[in-house]
Amino acid sequence: MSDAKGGHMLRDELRQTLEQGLRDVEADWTVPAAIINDPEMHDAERERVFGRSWVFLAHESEISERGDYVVRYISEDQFIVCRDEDGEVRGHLNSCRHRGMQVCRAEMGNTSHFRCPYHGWTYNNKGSLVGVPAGREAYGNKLDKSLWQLKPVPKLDTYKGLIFGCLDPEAQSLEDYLGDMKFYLDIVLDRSDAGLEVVGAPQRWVVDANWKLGADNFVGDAYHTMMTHRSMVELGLAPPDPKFALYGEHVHTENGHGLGIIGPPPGMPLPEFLGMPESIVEQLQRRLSPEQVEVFRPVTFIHGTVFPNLSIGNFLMSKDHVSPPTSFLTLRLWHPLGPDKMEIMSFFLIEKEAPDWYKEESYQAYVRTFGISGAFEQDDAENWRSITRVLGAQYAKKTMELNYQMGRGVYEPDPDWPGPGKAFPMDYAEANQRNFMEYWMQLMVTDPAPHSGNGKVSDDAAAETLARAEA
Amino acid sequence: MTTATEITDTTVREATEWLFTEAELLDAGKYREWLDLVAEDLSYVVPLRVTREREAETDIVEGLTLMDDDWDSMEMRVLRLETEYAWAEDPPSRSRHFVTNIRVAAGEAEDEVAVKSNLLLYRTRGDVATFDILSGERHDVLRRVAGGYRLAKRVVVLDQTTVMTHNLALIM
Amino acid sequence: MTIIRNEGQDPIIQIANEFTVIQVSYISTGQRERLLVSSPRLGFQTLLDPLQLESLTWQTPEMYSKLLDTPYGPGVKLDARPLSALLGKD
Repeated sequence: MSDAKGGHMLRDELRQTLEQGLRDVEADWTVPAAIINDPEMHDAERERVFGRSWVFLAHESEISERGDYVVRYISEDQFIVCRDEDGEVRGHLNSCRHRGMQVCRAEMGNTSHFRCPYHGWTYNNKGSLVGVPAGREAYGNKLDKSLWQLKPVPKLDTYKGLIFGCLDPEAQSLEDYLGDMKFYLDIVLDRSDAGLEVVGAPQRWVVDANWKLGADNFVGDAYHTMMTHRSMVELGLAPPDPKFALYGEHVHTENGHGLGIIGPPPGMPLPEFLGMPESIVEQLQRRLSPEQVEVFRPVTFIHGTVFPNLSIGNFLMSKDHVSPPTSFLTLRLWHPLGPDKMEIMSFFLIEKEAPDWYKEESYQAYVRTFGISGAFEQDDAENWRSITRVLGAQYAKKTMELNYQMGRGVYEPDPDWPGPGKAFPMDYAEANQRNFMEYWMQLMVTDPAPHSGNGKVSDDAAAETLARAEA
Repeated sequence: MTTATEITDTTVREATEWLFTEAELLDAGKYREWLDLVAEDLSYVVPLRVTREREAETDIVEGLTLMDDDWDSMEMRVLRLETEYAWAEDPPSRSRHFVTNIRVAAGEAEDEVAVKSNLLLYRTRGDVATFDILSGERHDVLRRVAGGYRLAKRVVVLDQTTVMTHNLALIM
Repeated sequence: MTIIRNEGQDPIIQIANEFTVIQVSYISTGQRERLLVSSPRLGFQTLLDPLQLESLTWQTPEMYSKLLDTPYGPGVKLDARPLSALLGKD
């Protein structure tokens, strides 16, 4: 069902659910369960949420050399994210302009040119079509190659090494989109002079769960650690207090972003600055602002989500029950494959200049506690699958609202917090989750603007990008 | 320089029986007993693979894995299952290890044999009428000790890049 | 990169990516020293001498894009004749 503007309209029933949801999240602090696992919600979400938001594609270190490329996704669209021969980062739709064939079928590699395996149309890594087999015989040299470049991702930008793409050419800039969240992202991304690198490649696996459950968990759910991850507390991998995740600040910003910043439980001595090596601590104290240093000093856990589907985990955790804790940094992408299915891409990152002992310890702590085999993370996926299954059913969808009332009447925003955004003085709270869901629902009820249908806008953007590149 | 073990029919039979016994313990959830079959210098690795062209030297990623355990972390996993809070496997998955194509060769040390096997791991959970299947090749090093063998090293090369199960909570 | 042993001669260096494979080896006959660059998939090869190789060092990425105008080699000069011309004419 299309409207005159080229976008898709919401069915009345869907719109009513969402509009009621927006009223409820404001007034009652509840969220309709119907938004989790519903095929129509998912269809609308592809265009209204993923068609408009800045979505994480890759980290710059994954394409550090000219010619490097990886294949990544925004919703179902796949993009070749590469560094061209001039060193510029680019994103091209992975689809040959002739018949739409995937130009790259490997997940990663290095090349100056892409040659489509179907008929051999060849593009340079700026995306320009440069060669067509039998161009003289079959096209009489009349094919204007300049009109047939690979479609670019309409907007592409990087922030502190994170490469994001956006399908909406009219979207606000990445800087504005991230807004106050940048203050907190810097604490994670900008601690060292040489910056971060992704080690190896992301782990990828499929979970029968809606992607929002991962995003909702990371954006603010410290509360679940007490129950879900209790086995880790009992074994001593996490601080020996089931409520360890309560002792933190719960912060959210505009555009649905949010995070929790957790310190040690009272009276429990844990190392400052996530126990990072001295050489990195020295650099971060120089690089970050005094307010950022103050915020980061007592930190043992940072969990957060950049709307919609990029989450950050920076945790101090033991790799087993007999070892001291080491910190690690993971980024994860909750990539939707359907209303009830997502692919998780889990990245492990480390400061390039960190000492080797720390790199090794950090890797071990990450791979043993988080990611596909991680003893900590396993229990999360179990919950999200279970929720997704139950909330996909008719009675549950029609009657259930989910309770997001934690902290109601208990605490007010923290006036003394030195960072930006709206902060609450403990991380057992659901303000971030409400903020995430409210923003998601706002996007869902906002109809596409007349110009942002499936039109020629991205052609103009392509021509503009190319003109810039070739100038 | 040590002399490698000579591979006799007996060695092949013993190694095969060891793998079958191990599979039985794992499918029965007897992880504590399984730990008794593991050497204290265990290395247990599931490499991370990516889709690459045929000409690429390898499709195995350097620097990161899907799983990289030693004795301590394996014991941690078993201890975890013994707490009352290991939801990922409680209720437990039903699993079946199908172990085939067993190839036994001399190991690097005198008391070790190198055993390759193919693994098909079938898994269901809850009352959902679907299943997960993992397929892979295992490269094991079994070390002869008094009364049998101990698993000293295992590399499980899975035949998937995007893994089709929600976690690797089961020992492969 | 793969080094391919080359009976009695210098080894062949092979590099590849998702799109193609190329082999480079050193060839000498008397005074003549060349690099042999060959495409095992397309069947083309060329011998490059020092000056030819030197000339590559200042080429721009765009020049290689021009060379790839015919992505599977130069093609052949077609004496295009419709199939119908072959049918029942003689």
